[in-house]
Amino acid sequence: MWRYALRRLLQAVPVFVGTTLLIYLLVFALPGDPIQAMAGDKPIPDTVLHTLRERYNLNDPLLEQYGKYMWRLLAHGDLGENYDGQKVGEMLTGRWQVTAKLAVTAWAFELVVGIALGVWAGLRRGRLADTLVLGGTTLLIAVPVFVVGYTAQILFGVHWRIFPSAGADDGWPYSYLLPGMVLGSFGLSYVARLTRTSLAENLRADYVRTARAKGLSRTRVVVRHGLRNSLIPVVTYLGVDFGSLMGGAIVTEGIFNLPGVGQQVFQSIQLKEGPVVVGAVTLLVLIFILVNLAVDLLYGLLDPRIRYD
Amino acid sequence: MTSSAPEGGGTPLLEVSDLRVAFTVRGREVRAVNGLSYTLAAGETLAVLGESGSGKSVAAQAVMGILDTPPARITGGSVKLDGAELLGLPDRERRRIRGDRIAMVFQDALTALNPVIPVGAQLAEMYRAHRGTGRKEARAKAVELLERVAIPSAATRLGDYPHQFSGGQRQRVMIAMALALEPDVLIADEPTTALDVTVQAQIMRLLARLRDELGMGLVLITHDLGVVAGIADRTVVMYAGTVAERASARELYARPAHPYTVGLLASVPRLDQDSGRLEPVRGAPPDPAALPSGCPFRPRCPRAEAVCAEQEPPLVAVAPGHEAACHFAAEVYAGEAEVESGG
Amino acid sequence: MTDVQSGETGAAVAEAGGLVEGRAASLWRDAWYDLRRRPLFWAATAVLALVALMAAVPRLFTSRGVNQDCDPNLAKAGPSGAHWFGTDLAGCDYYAHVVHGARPTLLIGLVVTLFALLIALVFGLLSGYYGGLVDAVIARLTDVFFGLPFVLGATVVLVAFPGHGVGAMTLVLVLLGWTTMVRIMRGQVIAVRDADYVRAARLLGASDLRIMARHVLPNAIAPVIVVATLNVGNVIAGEATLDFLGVGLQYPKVSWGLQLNLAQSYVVDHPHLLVFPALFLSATVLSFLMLGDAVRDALDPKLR
Repeated sequence: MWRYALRRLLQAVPVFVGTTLLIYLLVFALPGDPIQAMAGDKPIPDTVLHTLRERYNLNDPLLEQYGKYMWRLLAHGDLGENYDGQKVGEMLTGRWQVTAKLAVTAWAFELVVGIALGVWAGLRRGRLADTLVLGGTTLLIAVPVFVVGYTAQILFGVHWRIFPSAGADDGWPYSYLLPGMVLGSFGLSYVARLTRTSLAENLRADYVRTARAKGLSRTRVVVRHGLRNSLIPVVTYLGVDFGSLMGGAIVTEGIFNLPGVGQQVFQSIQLKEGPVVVGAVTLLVLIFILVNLAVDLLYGLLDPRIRYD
Repeated sequence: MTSSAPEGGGTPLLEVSDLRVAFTVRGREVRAVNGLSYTLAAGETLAVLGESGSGKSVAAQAVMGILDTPPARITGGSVKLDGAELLGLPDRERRRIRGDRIAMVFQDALTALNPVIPVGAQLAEMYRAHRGTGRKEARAKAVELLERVAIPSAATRLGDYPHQFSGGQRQRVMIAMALALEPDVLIADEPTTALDVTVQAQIMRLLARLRDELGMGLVLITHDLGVVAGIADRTVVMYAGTVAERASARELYARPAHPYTVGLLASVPRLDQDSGRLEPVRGAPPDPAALPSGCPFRPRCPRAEAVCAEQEPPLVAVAPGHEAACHFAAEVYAGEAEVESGG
Repeated sequence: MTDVQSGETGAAVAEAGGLVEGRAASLWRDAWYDLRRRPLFWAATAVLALVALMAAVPRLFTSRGVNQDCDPNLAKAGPSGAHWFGTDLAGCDYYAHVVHGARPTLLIGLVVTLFALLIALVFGLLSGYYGGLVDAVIARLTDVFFGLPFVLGATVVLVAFPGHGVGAMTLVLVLLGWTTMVRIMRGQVIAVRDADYVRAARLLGASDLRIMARHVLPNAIAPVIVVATLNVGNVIAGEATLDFLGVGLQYPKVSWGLQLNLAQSYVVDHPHLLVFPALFLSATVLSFLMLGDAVRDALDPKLR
């Protein structure tokens, strides 16, 4: 296991460097003035432009720029500053908890409900339950998250008043339930479909027949011998899903007015505060890479076969 | 050891009579087992022989009660253990018997063992599920089991996963698992097919030894007559879901009474005859969805005549304890040489 | 048969080639036979045909141009006989807006997928066929791009991107969206690479390019086509999300996502502003997903 973990860590290094370099190149090295581009048509005073150019070392050679940028980011947690000189890191203080709570709510929702639906459909393959789950999840995947968000807000928040329609005033979990479900709906569909397919496949496996021959109860056969193996692809998916979860958090926090990092990004886009968007989203990408590394390690724990090759 | 003659009175340990299993495939009914009967006594070994598709594995799974229903369906017959009927028992009671009184060993232990659970836990599961044994005790018993099937340094291997064992060792683990609760009947479905020849012999010896130690009845399902030669007491040859021939192992090898058995024997290398060429049984096993009229073996049979297309041959006795389902059973039994010279 | 000398080997290669083409062709023929009998396939095709017609000839559906005949006094009015889908913030006809929104939405979805597919075919073929260093380089490159989640990556890039037109959007979306198909293509090519008919062609001296084009590609492409179909739906949904966030197409461009972006503060009180663009957007995405699912099921009955 340790060798597997070490190898995964070493493999993550070039991906980390490559991805951050890619972002840096796309943001700062494209033709045209990136600082002006971030502001759109908003007029920026020359002094501010100058300071920002210094700040991002845009007059240095490219790789040196990138090196300095990463060093400041990693060593000092420096996410850059806005046009008015405010530190992006400070603007995000206190917002992380909100985003974390939302992400956890969404993740729990998609895992619990997604796996339950997947098991339900997987055990009744080809029957009504299966068709319902397949159809419903296709629909949820097709409808963009902001449409789901507004629809849920209008119906459950405003019309029927089952959940708070916006804001975080009611605290966790109440204020986070509706946005969490909206955010998790996309991932839920994939979790349900993955669980369904792989459970149905595993239930036909030889070792499930063995488990039945051992005289185990149906629950034990399905859960311990069928489901456990079926969850391995689900876990792998969770890593990828974390990326769309954070992208979705920008949309969801914007719609439901939850004061998290996503809402800051949402508002900064509208206000044309480019440096804030770049700083915050870069950090989200770094978190994504780390979460994926963790998921990879978890995968090694779950599936003994891959640890030893 | 008990008498190897089940006809010797008393209730047989396992009695399968006129077992019928059908599958529904795309709306059509396919009959996989058509009236299989056999008995088994404690300490005895019965070999069920047949090609793939002959229904021998399906029949075994029906006896175990692990057929997928649907698509499979048991359409008739009876399976009695110590005189008590198993078919039609409520799920719960049937489950209690599975693994505890009748256990099964499958062909390919690599796929038949759960790849993501340590073998120790898979073994201990038998005690925990059936006997409610505590974690520690179940673990100790798992070590005993592995020692019993001669896995070296058993205690240290409980945490290992199936893919970390060699093919032969995996099959030993599989056997250990089946024997955990000392069942009365062990059904071994092609237990050595996935293994090297030398390992095959070891596994067969292990099965024979455990059968004697535990005094259990052993049903050995195989397509390979060579494998069972030294261990089987009696044999049933299956063809297209039904019994083609039934005899003591010695009789079957010495004087087969069904042309199919004759063909099977000719396709196996033997030490007791100076065999010339090995002849495979010509043709392919029949499609159970489209069986020929009359005798199912007719299209492949060198002796087929008009009557074979019209009448399904009944099982007839050619000698005490020796039956064959062939219109010419007596002739085949009497004049095997004649057929051989023809081939 | 220009690259083989003797007529005998030529005939053999022709035979192998015919076999290969026959195999790929019969795969698609069987799939088509299966598809024809699926109602969902026809439903999806019908929706997509309608949207495509809207994109190609919007005049068939409405005589109004975008933001034509607007009446500020009628702003945010609900559906009526004069304005089937109601009016927008400036009192312009919402139906005309929706009709004209089909073109950029569909165009971006299709063009992005087409370019991503081309990249995937080239990279996947090279990577899978040659293996070794080429494979390693392409694999690392794929890892790097794969490490960027779609919405996050597109947001951060687009914020600093010079230009937010259809061209710029297409470029960014292609850049972030080619990785999945490359991985699938590579796997397929590896599976086909060692097949007997490819070996035979190689032994007979066919060039690498020819083997890839005639033997490997036709037999490896099916799953990639399925993913590409699904991908059109995903790109459209993703592009709409970026428009909605405000980093995608900008006013006065027209698209369904942008329409929803402009309406975002008002949808609670005026649901028609949400419903109509969302309906067309979702139906289009759903149709591509159903189409992809149907083609996959038809191509590989085992996966069902």
